[in-house]
Amino acid sequence: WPYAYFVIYKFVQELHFCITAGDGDNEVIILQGSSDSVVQFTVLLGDVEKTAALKNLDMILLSYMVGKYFLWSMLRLHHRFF
Amino acid sequence: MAQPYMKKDDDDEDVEYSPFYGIEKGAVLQEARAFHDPQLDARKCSQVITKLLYLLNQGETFTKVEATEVFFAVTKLFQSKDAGLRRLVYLMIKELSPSSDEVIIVTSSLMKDMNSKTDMYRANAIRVLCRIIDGTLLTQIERYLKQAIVDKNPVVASAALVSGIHLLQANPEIVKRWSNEVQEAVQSRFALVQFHGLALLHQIRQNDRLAISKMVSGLTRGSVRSPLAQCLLIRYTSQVIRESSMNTQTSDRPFFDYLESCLRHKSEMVILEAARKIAEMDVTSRELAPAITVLQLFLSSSKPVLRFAAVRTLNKVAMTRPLAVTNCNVDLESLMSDQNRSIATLAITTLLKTGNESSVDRLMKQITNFMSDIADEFKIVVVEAIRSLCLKFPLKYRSMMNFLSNSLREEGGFEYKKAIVDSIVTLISEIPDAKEIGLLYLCEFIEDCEFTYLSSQILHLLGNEGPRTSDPSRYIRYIYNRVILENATVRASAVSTLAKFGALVDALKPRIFVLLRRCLFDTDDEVRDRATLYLQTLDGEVAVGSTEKDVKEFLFGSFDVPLANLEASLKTYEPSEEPFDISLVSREVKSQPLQEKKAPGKKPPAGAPAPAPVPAVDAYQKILSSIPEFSGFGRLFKSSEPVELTEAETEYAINVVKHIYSSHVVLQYNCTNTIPEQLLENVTVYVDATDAEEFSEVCSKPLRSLPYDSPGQIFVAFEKPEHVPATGKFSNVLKFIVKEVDTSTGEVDEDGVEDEYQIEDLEIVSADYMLRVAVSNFRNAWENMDPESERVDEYGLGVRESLAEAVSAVISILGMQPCEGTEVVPKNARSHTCLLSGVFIGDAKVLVRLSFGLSGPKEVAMKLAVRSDDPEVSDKIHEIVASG
Repeated sequence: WPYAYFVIYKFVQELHFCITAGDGDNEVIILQGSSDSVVQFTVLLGDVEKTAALKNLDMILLSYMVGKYFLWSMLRLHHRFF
Repeated sequence: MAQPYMKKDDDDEDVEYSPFYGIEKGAVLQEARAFHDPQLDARKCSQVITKLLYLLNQGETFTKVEATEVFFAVTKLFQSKDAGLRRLVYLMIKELSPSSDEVIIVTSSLMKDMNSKTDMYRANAIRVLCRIIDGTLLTQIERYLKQAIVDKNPVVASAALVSGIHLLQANPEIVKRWSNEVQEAVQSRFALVQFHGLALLHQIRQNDRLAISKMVSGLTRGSVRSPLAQCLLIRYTSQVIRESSMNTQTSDRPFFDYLESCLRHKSEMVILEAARKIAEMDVTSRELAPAITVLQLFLSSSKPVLRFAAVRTLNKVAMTRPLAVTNCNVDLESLMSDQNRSIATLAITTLLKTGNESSVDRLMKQITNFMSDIADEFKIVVVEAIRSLCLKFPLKYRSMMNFLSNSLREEGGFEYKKAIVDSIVTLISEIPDAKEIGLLYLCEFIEDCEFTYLSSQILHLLGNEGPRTSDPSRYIRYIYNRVILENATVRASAVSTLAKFGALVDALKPRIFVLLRRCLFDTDDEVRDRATLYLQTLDGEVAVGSTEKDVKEFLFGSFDVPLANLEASLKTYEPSEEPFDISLVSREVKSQPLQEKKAPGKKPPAGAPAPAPVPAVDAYQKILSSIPEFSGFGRLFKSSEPVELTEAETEYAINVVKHIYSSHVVLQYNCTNTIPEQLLENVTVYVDATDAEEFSEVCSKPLRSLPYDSPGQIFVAFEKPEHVPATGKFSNVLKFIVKEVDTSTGEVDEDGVEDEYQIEDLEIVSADYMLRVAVSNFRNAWENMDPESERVDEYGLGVRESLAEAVSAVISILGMQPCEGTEVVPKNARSHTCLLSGVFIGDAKVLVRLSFGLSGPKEVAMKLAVRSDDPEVSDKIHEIVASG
């Protein structure tokens, strides 16, 4: 079989996460690992709007890319946000 | 002076508030000069790095020069004491992937940070350093990495472990030395460290099956706390179970109790992982039931991701074990109206696999309501699932055919309509009762169809199936409407379809003639030519010598002459009183040169002619016909590829071509003299046929003179029983008179010396009596063959290197043409079906269906089914395989 993918979306107010993963991957892990760290961070900022996230993209990139390696070995993750 | 904040209603205006609005690479690179300031502005530098990372993330690429400049600028920032900026520097260096001569510049700074008292610096420096170093430098820092793996700070330990996973790809022998430290990390009380340690330990040991089994054995006894590590362990455990069951063939399954206990874990990701792995295994129904139960609970979860994960897993289980999923049908039906369309579509297709016959009508009603809400690609999935359901419950074809025809009337693109048409066509061919209603629905569809391909496809189907229905005349109106209303391609298809009705339904023939005569005035020459041809063909009185059987074969049979061969023959044909004879065109399919092979398994588009190799058979036919001794042998059945009888770089290069007639075999020896100083005369081949009892030599045609580097031919003819695949081995000795040649003057000595030269034996094998002729549609050809001619048997092929090797060996023994790409065996396949076609000596068409399977470790078993024009030929094919 050709290798198959699926995409999981998560919307938190103005933030849209689109995460692709391999066919055999675990959806719960993907969703929790990929987006929760960013959402928790923006909640700490007290504002989950897109504007706030973009203004603090440096901090998001730091937490997000750390999370990327946190999940690397299981997820073979491809991700993009915004 | 702060402005009062006012949220605008127009969302498009929000874009302008983005700090990255209108961002441009050139401008940001200019801003990077701030990195060189003696007085660093940490906040400003952080913003610039963020912009650079944003650009990279959005797919922007830096040129070599740009990357180098940014890299050098970033290295200036190591002096900063701002923690946030330092971490961004690490990210930037990693993303830039400096070249080897640039690595040196930052290595010392990173190595200093590796031993820093600040844990965050240490962790990130390790990550960056391991990304950019090579094996030589790795040995220098190996000691520090091993210390980091067992560091008491989990962030540092995890960074080192993740780096180890990356380093293992390029330097496995170094990372494997860290086993003890990694083992210690797996026992860590921090979930993060445990997870990464387990992943790295598995990678280190992945080629050692016993070590993995021991690792799994120890860890399944309850020391793993991290849910992520639990998920990893479930995967490794499944791997061990799968491999052990493959080897031992026992019903015992080690560690299965562990998987089952994970179904009761408190973390959802662990439950899902365990359920999925159990569902993928070959387990009993009793063992599968708990996994299905937890998935069923997830179906009614309030979290969409759990519903999606559960229905996706159940969809796969339903393909192989539909009965196991029927308990979930009630929950699945409620998901049909889920607001998430992926979940709803998966629920429908799962129900279509698990529903019983009595629930079909209710399902179809719900699906009809659902279809208008989804996009074409989801609709295609549903249509294909309905087709499968209809094949499962043929008695329900009426409601499903109604559904499909209603779908044809809805809006939709080409792919969607094609999926529906293909489904109806499949149902027509599989369910006899559905044929007439299906054909009528398709007729209604082409009345208003805008897709030429689909119209032609349906007309072709009407031509094949319509004449055999209870009332063929009802289709004529629809077909002729296409002649009146459609484009030229569809009109031509319609003309062909009308001809098929005329050929098979005598009562309609007069009306077909009237309609075809009207087509003679069409504006398109293809349409006119077809009408002319079919009028001529159908009028039996005009075509001298043609019979009704010939007419039907012409209209309905596949064109069995490869187009490339026909083209080549037409090019070489010289107009004369002798008309062109299509029966002389070779039917053998020439294999393509290796570099022109199409992708394995990919079927070439229908009707696309392959690039034409010149068929050798026609050339040979000319040569052999011109030799009086052979002209009485009849039609040449086949000529083999040249077989080399000498090694390269020898004095005399000899190869042989085997020409097969019905009662004779002619051996053509192609000779080349590679010695300038020699002239050979009266060259003959003495053939010893002692080991080929069924052959008797009839005559031979020697070569009078064989100068240097001028090829010549010697022919030896044998008689054999007619239409019998006689085989045997022939010894060959070249005999000649050799004369010296003065290369400077070209003079030849008068006196010659008799000499002989031993060349290799040649064999006539069964494959020499099989012509490789492809069929365009194997299934149709198979079903058109008389089932009485079928012979089926099973063979053990013994120990083979691989399934692919067994497949190619059998194809070679039979010498037949593989069809539909079935000679390509997928990697790691445990079973395979291969379809072969050909024409056997005596012009008997032969079809072969081979089923291969593994009957033990490297032992291959094969089931052979043969159909042919003659049952005796089918028996002979089995004899060939049995003795081969």
